[in-house]
Amino acid sequence: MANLKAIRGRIRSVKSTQKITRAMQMVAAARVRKAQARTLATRPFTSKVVQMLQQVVHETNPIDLLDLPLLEKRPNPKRVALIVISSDRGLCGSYNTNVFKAAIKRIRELKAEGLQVDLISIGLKAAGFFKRVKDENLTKIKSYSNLSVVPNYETAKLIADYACILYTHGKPKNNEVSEDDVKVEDLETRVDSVEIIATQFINLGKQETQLIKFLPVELPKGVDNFPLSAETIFEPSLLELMEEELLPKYVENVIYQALLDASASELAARMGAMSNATSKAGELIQDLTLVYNKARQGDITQQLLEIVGGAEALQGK
Amino acid sequence: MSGTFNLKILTPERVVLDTVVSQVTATARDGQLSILAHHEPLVTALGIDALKYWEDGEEKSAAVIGGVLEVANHQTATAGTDQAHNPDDLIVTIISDSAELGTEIDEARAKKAEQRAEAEKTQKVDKLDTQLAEMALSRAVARLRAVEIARDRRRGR
Repeated sequence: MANLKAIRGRIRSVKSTQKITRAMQMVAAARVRKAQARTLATRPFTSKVVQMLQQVVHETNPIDLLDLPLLEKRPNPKRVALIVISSDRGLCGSYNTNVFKAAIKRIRELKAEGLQVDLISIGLKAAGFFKRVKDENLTKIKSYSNLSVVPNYETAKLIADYACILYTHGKPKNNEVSEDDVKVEDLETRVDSVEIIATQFINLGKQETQLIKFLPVELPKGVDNFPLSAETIFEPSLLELMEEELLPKYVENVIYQALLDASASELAARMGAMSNATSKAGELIQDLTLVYNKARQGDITQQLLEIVGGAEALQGK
Repeated sequence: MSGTFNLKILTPERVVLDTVVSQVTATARDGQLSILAHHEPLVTALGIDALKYWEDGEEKSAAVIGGVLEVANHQTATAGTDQAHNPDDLIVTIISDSAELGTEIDEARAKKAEQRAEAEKTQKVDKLDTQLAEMALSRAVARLRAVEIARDRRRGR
Protein backbone atom coordinates (compact mmCIF):
# COMPACT_ATOMS: atom_id res chain seq x y z
CA MET A 1 0.00 0.00 0.00
CA ALA A 2 1.41 3.32 -1.08
CA ASN A 3 1.97 5.61 1.82
CA LEU A 4 -0.53 8.37 2.36
CA LYS A 5 1.91 11.23 2.55
CA ALA A 6 3.48 10.37 -0.80
CA ILE A 7 0.08 10.27 -2.51
CA ARG A 8 -0.90 13.61 -1.01
CA GLY A 9 2.32 15.09 -2.36
CA ARG A 10 1.63 13.77 -5.84
CA ILE A 11 -1.87 15.16 -5.87
CA ARG A 12 -0.52 18.54 -4.90
CA SER A 13 2.14 18.53 -7.59
CA VAL A 14 -0.31 17.45 -10.30
CA LYS A 15 -2.64 20.23 -9.21
CA SER A 16 0.02 22.89 -9.56
CA THR A 17 1.01 21.53 -12.97
CA GLN A 18 -2.61 21.74 -13.98
CA LYS A 19 -2.70 25.38 -12.94
CA ILE A 20 0.26 26.12 -15.19
CA THR A 21 -1.13 24.27 -18.19
CA ARG A 22 -4.48 25.97 -17.77
CA ALA A 23 -2.84 29.38 -17.70
CA MET A 24 -0.81 28.54 -20.82
CA GLN A 25 -3.95 27.37 -22.55
CA MET A 26 -5.69 30.63 -21.85
CA VAL A 27 -2.75 32.73 -22.97
CA ALA A 28 -2.52 30.74 -26.20
CA ALA A 29 -6.25 31.12 -26.79
CA ALA A 30 -6.05 34.89 -26.47
CA ARG A 31 -3.04 35.03 -28.78
CA VAL A 32 -4.65 32.82 -31.42
CA ARG A 33 -7.47 35.27 -31.68
CA LYS A 34 -5.04 38.12 -32.23
CA ALA A 35 -3.08 36.10 -34.76
CA GLN A 36 -6.26 35.41 -36.69
CA ALA A 37 -7.09 39.10 -36.71
CA ARG A 38 -3.64 39.83 -38.11
CA THR A 39 -4.15 37.33 -40.89
CA LEU A 40 -7.40 39.06 -41.78
CA ALA A 41 -5.70 42.46 -41.71
CA THR A 42 -3.34 41.47 -44.52
CA ARG A 43 -6.16 40.51 -46.88
CA PRO A 44 -6.75 43.92 -48.52
CA PHE A 45 -3.04 44.32 -49.21
CA THR A 46 -2.66 40.82 -50.61
CA SER A 47 -5.63 41.03 -52.90
CA LYS A 48 -4.51 44.42 -54.21
CA VAL A 49 -0.99 43.18 -54.97
CA VAL A 50 -2.34 40.10 -56.70
CA GLN A 51 -4.80 42.18 -58.66
CA MET A 52 -2.15 44.64 -59.82
CA LEU A 53 0.15 41.79 -60.79
CA GLN A 54 -2.59 40.18 -62.81
CA GLN A 55 -3.34 43.42 -64.59
CA VAL A 56 0.28 44.00 -65.42
CA VAL A 57 0.79 40.45 -66.62
CA HIS A 58 -2.28 40.81 -68.75
CA GLU A 59 -0.88 43.95 -70.31
CA THR A 60 2.58 42.66 -71.05
CA ASN A 61 3.76 40.47 -73.81
CA PRO A 62 4.58 37.04 -72.31
CA ILE A 63 7.98 37.19 -74.00
CA ASP A 64 8.92 40.31 -72.04
CA LEU A 65 8.19 38.51 -68.81
CA LEU A 66 10.82 35.91 -69.59
CA ASP A 67 13.47 38.46 -68.76
CA LEU A 68 12.44 38.66 -65.13
CA PRO A 69 14.81 36.48 -63.14
CA LEU A 70 12.26 35.58 -60.50
CA LEU A 71 9.92 34.14 -63.09
CA GLU A 72 12.56 32.16 -64.92
CA LYS A 73 11.95 28.42 -64.85
CA ARG A 74 15.14 26.47 -65.22
CA PRO A 75 15.30 23.15 -67.00
CA ASN A 76 17.18 20.31 -65.27
CA PRO A 77 17.19 21.64 -61.73
CA LYS A 78 20.09 20.54 -59.55
CA ARG A 79 19.60 22.27 -56.23
CA VAL A 80 16.52 23.09 -54.28
CA ALA A 81 16.34 25.34 -51.24
CA LEU A 82 13.85 24.29 -48.62
CA ILE A 83 12.56 26.79 -46.08
CA VAL A 84 11.24 24.98 -43.01
CA ILE A 85 9.12 27.10 -40.70
CA SER A 86 8.95 25.87 -37.12
CA SER A 87 8.55 27.52 -33.73
CA ASP A 88 11.09 28.84 -31.25
CA ARG A 89 9.34 27.35 -28.27
CA GLY A 90 8.05 23.92 -27.45
CA LEU A 91 5.02 22.68 -25.53
CA CYS A 92 2.85 22.89 -28.59
CA GLY A 93 1.93 19.27 -29.16
CA SER A 94 2.84 17.71 -32.47
CA TYR A 95 3.18 21.05 -34.27
CA ASN A 96 6.92 20.90 -34.85
CA THR A 97 7.04 17.14 -35.27
CA ASN A 98 4.56 17.35 -38.11
CA VAL A 99 6.62 20.01 -39.84
CA PHE A 100 9.80 17.95 -39.51
CA LYS A 101 8.08 14.83 -40.77
CA ALA A 102 6.89 16.68 -43.84
CA ALA A 103 10.33 18.22 -44.33
CA ILE A 104 12.12 14.87 -44.11
CA LYS A 105 9.63 13.35 -46.50
CA ARG A 106 10.17 16.15 -49.00
CA ILE A 107 13.95 15.90 -48.67
CA ARG A 108 13.75 12.14 -49.40
CA GLU A 109 11.61 12.81 -52.46
CA LEU A 110 14.01 15.41 -53.77
CA LYS A 111 16.93 13.13 -53.09
CA ALA A 112 15.24 10.36 -55.03
CA GLU A 113 15.09 12.75 -57.97
CA GLY A 114 18.82 13.30 -57.60
CA LEU A 115 18.60 16.85 -56.29
CA GLN A 116 20.76 18.58 -53.74
CA VAL A 117 18.84 20.23 -50.93
CA ASP A 118 19.81 23.46 -49.20
CA LEU A 119 18.07 24.02 -45.93
CA ILE A 120 16.94 27.32 -44.46
CA SER A 121 15.45 26.71 -41.05
CA ILE A 122 13.22 29.15 -39.24
CA GLY A 123 12.75 28.75 -35.50
CA LEU A 124 14.96 27.24 -32.82
CA LYS A 125 13.20 23.90 -33.00
CA ALA A 126 14.00 23.34 -36.66
CA ALA A 127 17.63 24.35 -36.10
CA GLY A 128 17.85 21.88 -33.22
CA PHE A 129 16.19 19.09 -35.13
CA PHE A 130 18.27 19.38 -38.28
CA LYS A 131 21.50 19.60 -36.31
CA ARG A 132 21.08 15.89 -35.70
CA VAL A 133 20.23 15.04 -39.31
CA LYS A 134 23.28 14.12 -41.31
CA ASP A 135 23.00 13.64 -45.04
CA GLU A 136 25.44 14.36 -47.81
CA ASN A 137 22.65 15.67 -50.00
CA LEU A 138 21.52 18.13 -47.39
CA THR A 139 23.36 21.38 -46.71
CA LYS A 140 22.25 23.66 -43.93
CA ILE A 141 22.89 27.14 -45.19
CA LYS A 142 20.96 29.46 -42.96
CA SER A 143 18.96 29.45 -39.81
CA TYR A 144 16.73 32.18 -38.44
CA SER A 145 15.75 31.87 -34.82
CA ASN A 146 14.42 33.94 -31.97
CA LEU A 147 12.33 35.98 -34.35
CA SER A 148 9.73 38.13 -32.72
CA VAL A 149 6.72 36.19 -31.50
CA VAL A 150 4.48 38.30 -33.68
CA PRO A 151 5.77 37.91 -37.23
CA ASN A 152 6.54 41.28 -38.74
CA TYR A 153 6.94 42.31 -42.30
CA GLU A 154 10.62 43.19 -41.94
CA THR A 155 11.43 39.61 -41.00
CA ALA A 156 9.50 38.33 -43.96
CA LYS A 157 11.36 40.76 -46.17
CA LEU A 158 14.71 39.60 -44.85
CA ILE A 159 13.94 35.97 -45.56
CA ALA A 160 12.43 36.73 -48.95
CA ASP A 161 15.45 38.79 -49.96
CA TYR A 162 17.79 36.03 -48.92
CA ALA A 163 15.83 33.44 -50.89
CA CYS A 164 15.72 35.69 -53.95
CA ILE A 165 19.45 36.30 -53.86
CA LEU A 166 19.98 32.59 -53.54
CA TYR A 167 17.75 32.04 -56.51
CA THR A 168 19.13 34.73 -58.76
CA HIS A 169 22.68 34.05 -57.67
CA GLY A 170 23.69 37.24 -56.01
CA LYS A 171 22.05 39.63 -58.38
CA PRO A 172 20.17 41.70 -55.83
CA LYS A 173 16.76 42.60 -57.11
CA ASN A 174 16.97 46.11 -55.75
CA ASN A 175 19.25 48.20 -53.64
CA GLU A 176 17.21 47.61 -50.52
CA VAL A 177 18.58 44.11 -50.18
CA SER A 178 20.67 43.74 -47.09
CA GLU A 179 23.62 42.01 -48.64
CA ASP A 180 25.45 41.82 -45.35
CA ASP A 181 23.26 38.83 -44.61
CA VAL A 182 24.60 36.90 -47.52
CA LYS A 183 28.17 35.82 -47.40
CA VAL A 184 30.01 35.23 -50.61
CA GLU A 185 30.63 31.56 -49.90
CA ASP A 186 26.92 31.02 -49.54
CA LEU A 187 26.49 32.02 -53.11
CA GLU A 188 28.90 29.64 -54.72
CA THR A 189 26.01 27.44 -55.55
CA ARG A 190 22.74 28.82 -56.63
CA VAL A 191 19.46 27.05 -56.27
CA ASP A 192 17.02 26.31 -59.07
CA SER A 193 13.90 26.51 -57.00
CA VAL A 194 12.81 27.42 -53.51
CA GLU A 195 10.12 25.63 -51.55
CA ILE A 196 8.56 26.34 -48.19
CA ILE A 197 7.35 23.79 -45.68
CA ALA A 198 5.03 25.44 -43.22
CA THR A 199 1.84 24.87 -41.33
CA GLN A 200 -1.40 26.14 -42.68
CA PHE A 201 -3.98 27.33 -40.21
CA ILE A 202 -7.35 25.85 -41.12
CA ASN A 203 -9.22 26.29 -37.87
CA LEU A 204 -8.58 26.11 -34.15
CA GLY A 205 -8.71 22.34 -34.16
CA LYS A 206 -6.99 21.71 -37.43
CA GLN A 207 -3.63 22.71 -38.84
CA GLU A 208 -1.97 21.06 -41.79
CA THR A 209 1.56 21.12 -43.07
CA GLN A 210 1.77 22.37 -46.59
CA LEU A 211 4.37 22.65 -49.29
CA ILE A 212 4.51 26.01 -51.07
CA LYS A 213 6.45 26.30 -54.31
CA PHE A 214 7.96 29.69 -53.67
CA LEU A 215 10.39 30.40 -56.50
CA PRO A 216 10.20 30.59 -59.47
CA VAL A 217 7.10 32.67 -58.94
CA GLU A 218 3.94 31.11 -60.22
CA LEU A 219 1.84 34.03 -61.34
CA PRO A 220 -1.65 34.02 -59.96
CA LYS A 221 -4.27 33.06 -62.51
CA GLY A 222 -7.66 34.55 -63.29
CA VAL A 223 -6.68 37.55 -65.37
CA ASP A 224 -9.97 37.89 -67.21
CA ASN A 225 -11.76 39.44 -64.26
CA PHE A 226 -9.60 42.51 -64.21
CA PRO A 227 -9.65 44.54 -67.36
CA LEU A 228 -7.15 47.36 -67.19
CA SER A 229 -8.13 50.53 -68.90
CA ALA A 230 -5.99 50.86 -71.98
CA GLU A 231 -4.83 54.40 -71.32
CA THR A 232 -3.26 53.58 -67.97
CA ILE A 233 0.11 55.25 -67.66
CA PHE A 234 2.97 53.34 -66.13
CA GLU A 235 5.83 55.18 -64.52
CA PRO A 236 8.61 54.05 -64.71
CA SER A 237 8.08 51.46 -67.39
CA LEU A 238 5.74 48.59 -66.79
CA LEU A 239 8.48 46.00 -66.60
CA GLU A 240 10.57 48.03 -64.21
CA LEU A 241 7.56 48.49 -62.01
CA MET A 242 6.93 44.78 -62.10
CA GLU A 243 10.50 43.86 -61.33
CA GLU A 244 11.21 46.44 -58.67
CA GLU A 245 7.94 46.81 -56.88
CA LEU A 246 5.22 44.32 -57.58
CA LEU A 247 7.14 41.06 -57.73
CA PRO A 248 9.19 41.70 -54.58
CA LYS A 249 6.04 42.73 -52.77
CA TYR A 250 4.28 39.61 -53.93
CA VAL A 251 7.17 37.38 -52.93
CA GLU A 252 7.56 39.02 -49.52
CA ASN A 253 3.89 38.74 -48.97
CA VAL A 254 3.93 35.00 -49.62
CA ILE A 255 6.53 34.59 -46.87
CA TYR A 256 4.70 36.96 -44.57
CA GLN A 257 1.50 35.00 -45.02
CA ALA A 258 3.34 31.75 -44.37
CA LEU A 259 4.86 33.18 -41.18
CA LEU A 260 1.51 34.47 -39.97
CA ASP A 261 -0.18 31.18 -40.70
CA ALA A 262 2.59 29.30 -38.94
CA SER A 263 2.36 31.47 -35.86
CA ALA A 264 -1.42 31.11 -35.67
CA SER A 265 -1.02 27.35 -36.10
CA GLU A 266 1.63 27.17 -33.41
CA LEU A 267 -0.61 28.96 -30.95
CA ALA A 268 -3.61 26.84 -31.84
CA ALA A 269 -1.51 23.69 -31.45
CA ARG A 270 -0.24 24.93 -28.10
CA MET A 271 -3.76 25.69 -27.01
CA GLY A 272 -4.88 22.18 -27.95
CA ALA A 273 -1.92 20.54 -26.26
CA MET A 274 -2.40 22.53 -23.10
CA SER A 275 -6.11 21.86 -22.92
CA ASN A 276 -5.35 18.13 -23.28
CA ALA A 277 -2.77 18.40 -20.54
CA THR A 278 -5.20 20.21 -18.27
CA SER A 279 -7.91 17.59 -18.67
CA LYS A 280 -5.37 14.77 -18.32
CA ALA A 281 -4.21 16.35 -15.08
CA GLY A 282 -7.83 16.44 -13.91
CA GLU A 283 -8.18 12.72 -14.62
CA LEU A 284 -4.94 11.98 -12.84
CA ILE A 285 -6.06 13.93 -9.79
CA GLN A 286 -9.32 11.96 -9.74
CA ASP A 287 -7.49 8.63 -9.93
CA LEU A 288 -5.01 9.63 -7.29
CA THR A 289 -7.75 10.83 -4.96
CA LEU A 290 -9.42 7.44 -5.34
CA VAL A 291 -6.19 5.64 -4.51
CA TYR A 292 -5.64 8.01 -1.61
CA ASN A 293 -9.09 7.37 -0.14
CA LYS A 294 -8.72 3.62 -0.55
CA ALA A 295 -5.38 3.73 1.18
CA ARG A 296 -6.84 5.84 3.97
CA GLN A 297 -9.75 3.46 4.44
CA GLY A 298 -7.40 0.49 4.37
CA ASP A 299 -5.32 2.16 7.02
CA ILE A 300 -8.33 2.72 9.26
CA THR A 301 -9.55 -0.86 8.79
CA GLN A 302 -6.11 -2.10 9.59
CA GLN A 303 -5.99 -0.09 12.79
CA LEU A 304 -9.47 -1.22 13.83
CA LEU A 305 -8.50 -4.83 13.24
CA GLU A 306 -5.43 -4.38 15.34
CA ILE A 307 -7.42 -2.84 18.24
CA VAL A 308 -10.17 -5.51 18.04
CA GLY A 309 -7.57 -8.24 17.75
CA GLY A 310 -5.70 -6.85 20.74
CA ALA A 311 -8.86 -6.57 22.86
CA GLU A 312 -9.91 -10.11 21.94
CA ALA A 313 -6.53 -11.44 22.87
CA LEU A 314 -6.77 -9.76 26.28
CA GLN A 315 -10.29 -11.10 26.87
CA GLY A 316 -9.34 -14.61 25.89
CA LYS A 317 -6.73 -14.68 28.63
CA MET B 1 -13.92 72.17 -55.48
CA SER B 2 -13.65 69.93 -58.47
CA GLY B 3 -14.76 66.77 -56.76
CA THR B 4 -13.61 64.07 -54.48
CA PHE B 5 -12.30 60.55 -54.77
CA ASN B 6 -11.31 57.58 -52.64
CA LEU B 7 -7.88 57.19 -51.14
CA LYS B 8 -6.70 53.93 -49.67
CA ILE B 9 -3.34 53.22 -48.09
CA LEU B 10 -2.69 49.52 -47.62
CA THR B 11 0.21 47.88 -45.84
CA PRO B 12 0.66 44.18 -45.14
CA GLU B 13 -0.06 44.78 -41.48
CA ARG B 14 -3.22 46.84 -41.75
CA VAL B 15 -5.36 49.25 -43.75
CA VAL B 16 -3.82 52.56 -42.78
CA LEU B 17 -6.31 54.84 -44.45
CA ASP B 18 -9.56 54.50 -46.36
CA THR B 19 -11.23 57.83 -46.87
CA VAL B 20 -12.60 60.39 -49.31
CA VAL B 21 -10.24 63.18 -50.33
CA SER B 22 -10.12 66.05 -52.80
CA GLN B 23 -6.40 65.98 -53.57
CA VAL B 24 -3.35 63.81 -53.01
CA THR B 25 0.23 65.02 -53.32
CA ALA B 26 2.89 62.34 -53.29
CA THR B 27 6.51 61.96 -54.23
CA ALA B 28 7.05 59.43 -56.97
CA ARG B 29 10.46 58.03 -57.84
CA ASP B 30 10.94 60.72 -60.46
CA GLY B 31 9.33 63.71 -58.82
CA GLN B 32 6.28 65.05 -57.06
CA LEU B 33 2.82 64.57 -58.41
CA SER B 34 -0.58 65.73 -57.36
CA ILE B 35 -3.75 63.88 -58.12
CA LEU B 36 -7.12 65.52 -58.39
CA ALA B 37 -10.46 64.02 -59.27
CA HIS B 38 -10.81 62.75 -62.88
CA HIS B 39 -7.12 61.96 -63.10
CA GLU B 40 -6.04 59.56 -65.80
CA PRO B 41 -5.42 55.95 -64.76
CA LEU B 42 -1.84 55.67 -63.59
CA VAL B 43 0.49 53.25 -61.86
CA THR B 44 3.71 54.60 -60.45
CA ALA B 45 6.44 53.74 -57.98
CA LEU B 46 6.68 55.97 -54.93
CA GLY B 47 9.74 57.27 -53.17
CA ILE B 48 10.19 57.50 -49.43
CA ASP B 49 8.54 60.73 -48.37
CA ALA B 50 5.64 62.36 -46.67
CA LEU B 51 2.35 62.33 -48.52
CA LYS B 52 -0.26 65.03 -48.27
CA TYR B 53 -3.97 64.62 -48.75
CA TRP B 54 -6.92 66.93 -48.36
CA GLU B 55 -9.80 65.46 -46.42
CA ASP B 56 -12.86 67.70 -45.87
CA GLY B 57 -10.83 70.66 -47.09
CA GLU B 58 -8.21 70.01 -44.45
CA GLU B 59 -4.61 69.19 -45.23
CA LYS B 60 -3.42 65.97 -43.64
CA SER B 61 -0.28 63.93 -43.93
CA ALA B 62 1.09 60.42 -43.87
CA ALA B 63 4.58 58.96 -44.11
CA VAL B 64 4.86 56.40 -46.88
CA ILE B 65 7.98 54.28 -47.04
CA GLY B 66 8.19 53.40 -50.71
CA GLY B 67 5.51 51.50 -52.56
CA VAL B 68 3.22 51.75 -55.54
CA LEU B 69 0.47 54.24 -56.24
CA GLU B 70 -2.37 53.25 -58.47
CA VAL B 71 -5.01 55.54 -59.87
CA ALA B 72 -7.94 53.64 -61.28
CA ASN B 73 -11.50 54.40 -62.13
CA HIS B 74 -14.04 52.42 -60.20
CA GLN B 75 -14.65 49.65 -62.73
CA THR B 76 -11.12 48.31 -62.62
CA ALA B 77 -10.50 48.90 -58.97
CA THR B 78 -13.60 47.20 -57.67
CA ALA B 79 -14.00 44.45 -60.26
CA GLY B 80 -14.80 41.24 -58.50
CA THR B 81 -15.97 42.97 -55.33
CA ASP B 82 -19.45 44.06 -54.31
CA GLN B 83 -18.54 47.63 -53.53
CA ALA B 84 -20.72 50.13 -55.31
CA HIS B 85 -19.26 53.44 -56.36
CA ASN B 86 -20.26 56.50 -58.22
CA PRO B 87 -19.20 56.00 -61.86
CA ASP B 88 -17.23 59.24 -61.77
CA ASP B 89 -15.34 58.04 -58.76
CA LEU B 90 -11.67 57.61 -58.88
CA ILE B 91 -9.87 55.26 -56.56
CA VAL B 92 -6.32 55.90 -55.53
CA THR B 93 -4.68 52.94 -53.87
CA ILE B 94 -1.25 53.01 -52.34
CA ILE B 95 0.42 49.77 -51.42
CA SER B 96 3.46 50.15 -49.26
CA ASP B 97 5.60 48.06 -46.94
CA SER B 98 5.12 50.55 -44.20
CA ALA B 99 3.00 53.67 -43.80
CA GLU B 100 1.80 55.78 -40.91
CA LEU B 101 -0.54 58.72 -40.56
CA GLY B 102 1.05 61.97 -39.48
CA THR B 103 -1.02 61.99 -36.32
CA GLU B 104 0.14 58.51 -35.32
CA ILE B 105 3.86 59.09 -35.54
CA ASP B 106 5.86 59.44 -32.37
CA GLU B 107 7.90 62.52 -33.12
CA ALA B 108 10.50 61.95 -30.42
CA ARG B 109 11.16 58.46 -31.69
CA ALA B 110 11.42 59.59 -35.29
CA LYS B 111 13.83 62.34 -34.28
CA LYS B 112 15.99 59.87 -32.38
CA ALA B 113 16.00 57.54 -35.38
CA GLU B 114 17.09 60.43 -37.57
CA GLN B 115 19.98 61.33 -35.30
CA ARG B 116 21.05 57.72 -35.03
CA ALA B 117 20.97 57.27 -38.77
CA GLU B 118 22.86 60.50 -39.28
CA ALA B 119 25.54 59.40 -36.84
CA GLU B 120 25.84 55.98 -38.38
CA LYS B 121 26.12 57.42 -41.84
CA THR B 122 29.21 59.39 -40.94
CA GLN B 123 30.81 56.59 -38.96
CA LYS B 124 30.37 53.73 -41.36
CA VAL B 125 33.16 53.18 -43.82
CA ASP B 126 31.65 50.33 -45.72
CA LYS B 127 29.72 51.47 -48.75
CA LEU B 128 26.84 49.15 -48.04
CA ASP B 129 26.49 50.23 -44.42
CA THR B 130 26.44 53.85 -45.51
CA GLN B 131 23.70 53.03 -47.93
CA LEU B 132 21.68 51.26 -45.26
CA ALA B 133 22.10 54.21 -42.93
CA GLU B 134 20.98 56.53 -45.70
CA MET B 135 17.86 54.44 -46.18
CA ALA B 136 17.11 54.62 -42.47
CA LEU B 137 17.71 58.36 -42.57
CA SER B 138 15.31 58.92 -45.43
CA ARG B 139 12.66 56.91 -43.60
CA ALA B 140 13.11 59.00 -40.47
CA VAL B 141 13.03 62.23 -42.46
CA ALA B 142 9.81 61.18 -44.19
CA ARG B 143 8.21 60.47 -40.82
CA LEU B 144 9.37 63.80 -39.42
CA ARG B 145 8.01 65.70 -42.38
CA ALA B 146 4.66 64.01 -42.01
CA VAL B 147 4.61 64.95 -38.33
CA GLU B 148 5.50 68.52 -39.16
CA ILE B 149 2.69 68.86 -41.64
CA ALA B 150 0.24 67.40 -39.14
CA ARG B 151 1.46 69.76 -36.43
CA ASP B 152 1.39 72.91 -38.58
CA ARG B 153 -2.15 72.02 -39.46
CA ARG B 154 -3.18 71.79 -35.84
CA ARG B 155 -1.54 75.06 -34.94
CA GLY B 156 -3.09 76.85 -37.88
CA ARG B 157 -6.57 75.98 -36.76
